[in-house]
Amino acid sequence: MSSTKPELLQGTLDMLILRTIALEPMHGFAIARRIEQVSEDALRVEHGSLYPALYRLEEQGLLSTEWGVTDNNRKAKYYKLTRKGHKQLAVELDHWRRLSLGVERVIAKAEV
Amino acid sequence: MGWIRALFQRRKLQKELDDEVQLHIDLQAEEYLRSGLSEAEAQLAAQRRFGNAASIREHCRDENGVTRVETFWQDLRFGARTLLAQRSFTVTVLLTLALGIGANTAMFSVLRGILFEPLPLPNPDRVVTVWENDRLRGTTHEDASYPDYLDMKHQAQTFEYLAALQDMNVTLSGWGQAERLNAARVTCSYFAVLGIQPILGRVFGPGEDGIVLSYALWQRKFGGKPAIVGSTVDLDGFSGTILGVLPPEVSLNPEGAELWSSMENIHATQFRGQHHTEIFGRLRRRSSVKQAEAEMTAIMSRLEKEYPNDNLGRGAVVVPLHEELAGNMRPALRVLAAAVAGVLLLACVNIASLLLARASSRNHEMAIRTSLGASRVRLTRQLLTESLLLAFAGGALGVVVAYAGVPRLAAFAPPDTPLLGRVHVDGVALLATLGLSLIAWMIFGLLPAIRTSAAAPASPLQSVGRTMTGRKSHRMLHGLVMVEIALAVVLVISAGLLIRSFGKIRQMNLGYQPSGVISLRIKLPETRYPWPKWPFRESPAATAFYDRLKNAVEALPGVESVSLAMANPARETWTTRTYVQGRPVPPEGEQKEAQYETADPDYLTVTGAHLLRGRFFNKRDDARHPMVAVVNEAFIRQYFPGEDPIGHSIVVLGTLREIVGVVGDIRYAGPAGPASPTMYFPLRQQPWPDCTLMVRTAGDPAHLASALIHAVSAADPAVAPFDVMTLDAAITQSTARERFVLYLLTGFGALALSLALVGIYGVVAYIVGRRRREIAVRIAIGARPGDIFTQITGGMLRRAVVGIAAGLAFAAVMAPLMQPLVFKTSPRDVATYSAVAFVLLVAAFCGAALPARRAAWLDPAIILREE
Repeated sequence: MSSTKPELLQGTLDMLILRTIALEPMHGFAIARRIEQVSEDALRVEHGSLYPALYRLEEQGLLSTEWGVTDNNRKAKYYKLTRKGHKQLAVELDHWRRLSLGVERVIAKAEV
Repeated sequence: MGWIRALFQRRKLQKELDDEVQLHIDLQAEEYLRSGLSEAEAQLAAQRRFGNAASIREHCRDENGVTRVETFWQDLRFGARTLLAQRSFTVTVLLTLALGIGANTAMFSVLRGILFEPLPLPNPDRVVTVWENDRLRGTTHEDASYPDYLDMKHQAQTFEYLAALQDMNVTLSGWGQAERLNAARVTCSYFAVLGIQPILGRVFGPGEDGIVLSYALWQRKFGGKPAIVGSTVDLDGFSGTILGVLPPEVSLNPEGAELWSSMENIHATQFRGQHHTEIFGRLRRRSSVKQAEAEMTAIMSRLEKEYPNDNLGRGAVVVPLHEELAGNMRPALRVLAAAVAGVLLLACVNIASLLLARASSRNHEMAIRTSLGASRVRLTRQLLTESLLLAFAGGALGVVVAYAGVPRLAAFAPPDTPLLGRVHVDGVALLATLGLSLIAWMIFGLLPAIRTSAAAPASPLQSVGRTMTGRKSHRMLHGLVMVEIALAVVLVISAGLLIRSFGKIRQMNLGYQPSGVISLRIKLPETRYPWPKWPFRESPAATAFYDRLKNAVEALPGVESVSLAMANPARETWTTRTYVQGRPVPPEGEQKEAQYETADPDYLTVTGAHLLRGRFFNKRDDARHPMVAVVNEAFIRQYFPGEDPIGHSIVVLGTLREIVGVVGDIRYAGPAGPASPTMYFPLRQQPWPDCTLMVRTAGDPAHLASALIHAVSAADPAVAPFDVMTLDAAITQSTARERFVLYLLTGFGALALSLALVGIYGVVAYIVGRRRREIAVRIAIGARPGDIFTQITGGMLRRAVVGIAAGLAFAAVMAPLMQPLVFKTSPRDVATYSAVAFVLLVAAFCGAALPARRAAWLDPAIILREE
């Protein structure tokens, strides 16, 4: 478990969570795994920050929760995106794209 | 809104979170297991990967508000424990709050009931009373005459209704036991003026005879039966029909009229010169009190020209009914309201200083907690919660005191205080006081809390008492104490002034000896004792009755002397015009009036009044012998200044009488009242259908009451005695109002003094506590206990002087407020001021003495060793 992988900022983690759940409702562990998998392990989710983030997003009304059952018949809390969450996700994605675009430009200039 | 869920489902949410976290760890462990680790290793790795589960749970809980609620409960419990541990502080604050809130709410409720609440009538601000005044004799507020009322009624435009009322006493018979009642004769418009509808039956109409009952009388005597409407009863021998019953709220008449009968049934003559009619009116919607008064004055001046003999110099004044009822009490109530504010302020200051002192003393504790990681917000919140706990507990206690206090206070008030029946714990007053205390708590709890939590942890930890921590807060504390002392001075002065004033009242020479005398009134029913009309001459039946009665009473055991008179000296009597014969006669309107009293020869013996010159009456002064009179010193001052009146004659009530004696002044209006010019006529030369029997006894006169009542019934069963009273009781009652205010203000003064004492003690104790090390050092290097003691008490006394000076100045400024309440005492009375200053100095000394003494006897070894 090396720590050379970049750690996620809180804002970014929120966005990734929203994005991940947008496709289908998932429980906490699955969300963490999915992010790590899809990023091909480039991102490392600090599991400790995951749950506070989830609770915070729920408090803000972007997620709703439901108790369900996993494949192995274990009780788990599933997180789902609300309509407000969908809207917020779109906003966040837009911000992120513009941000990364801007950063990209500056770096490109610097390299030259 | 998660915190609402958090409040009610704390445990459930906690479990959910735990389950979730556990699941996560389990799933992760499973992964590690699949990748080859042993089960134990997998679990460990999973947990490590997850991180600090505890703090994560903490964070989550923070997010959904569970923490906030938990923190609150924690704070509450901790606060309660701390408060219980510091019992003396807690008790002091609670007492202060309870007394401050409770006593003040009670007082304010009483005030509001009497002073501020609107009357239970429709449009009560339209209801007024109309009085006459006399320019020439300088009176401002007199009953009107019935003919004047009739003229007003015909000519007035500003009034919708005008009504006349005359007080009377009647014997109600024909239904159960004969009973003497307070009643009133009214014109039928009286009910329209008040605007009240009867709850049963109806009221009499114009030109109609009839009787209307009060609710209380209906319940008490007639059992609340609806069937009494239409029945007949006897009033003083004349029969009347009961027409209706009025609702219970109508108890506006302080005399307590229980029954109203129609003015059509008048038997007394109604001269324009006789003034015993009260006038009530309801203004038209557009008319103001000023307009009504102007109109009435105009009517009166027209009457003055038409009837110069009777109405010379008479005008009118219009007073709203509410003001009229509360009128007498107004100045006193103002002072009491100020006292309420003063005590409340004092209580707030007291609490402030206590909270401040205590907060500062916890610097050490706060410092430790800060260094352990408590946030400033958290600490502030905890301190505030503690104060909140105190405030609520104190407030609850205050409410209890208020509810207990209001009826007790009301019981103290003289029974004839108008509107007293409506006094109850005023919800608004309670809320207002609670609100005020809450605000005070917020200000005084918040400030120290903020300051305390802002304290840098380093310095308090290092310097427990070693340095002069909190210089500024010491100054603030001293400032608060000075304010407390000033307030206490003002309140104690007001009490002191009243005490002195009351002492002066009691010193006033009444002119007779009330102790040991009991009196009762008799009214002879006209049907059995036909009375000759004006001017009265002797009635043989009445004289025979009085003789029978007097003989019977004289024979009773314990009786020293018996007298019959028109009224006893504790009651004001009637006045009439008189002039000296042989001197130029002033026109009737300008003739001076004097009180008159008819009495039998034993009057002086029974009352204990003094004969100064000449002689009093004897058995020979009856209708067959020359008419005589006896006058008092005030009479001489008015009619015979510097002369001896004996031998002169006066013309009074249509008769010429020779003055044969002079008696000392009797204050008929009570010890605080004036000694008016008074004339005395022999009972047999001026008999009266309404008589007062007075009996002097060696022992307690109250014991004779039933024997006397029996004696009257034995002399004639149809005669019911009433107004049985000992003269002592009557006089006490005449000063009842002053005494009420006196008790209340004294109570407030005592309260203020105790609060100030507590405040002084608290502050000195606190400061001494903070400086223990310094004091110990000084003792160790040679200071004597006496020096320490003097220094500490001296310090407090110096500040007390400042507070006292401020209080004296403030009291002097507020003096005009007290003016109407004091009798023969200046509101800036030097003796009282000095006495109060001395008392407060002593109090300051006592408050400081105890902690000072403890400080002076500190063992330096013990103190310096502890750290």
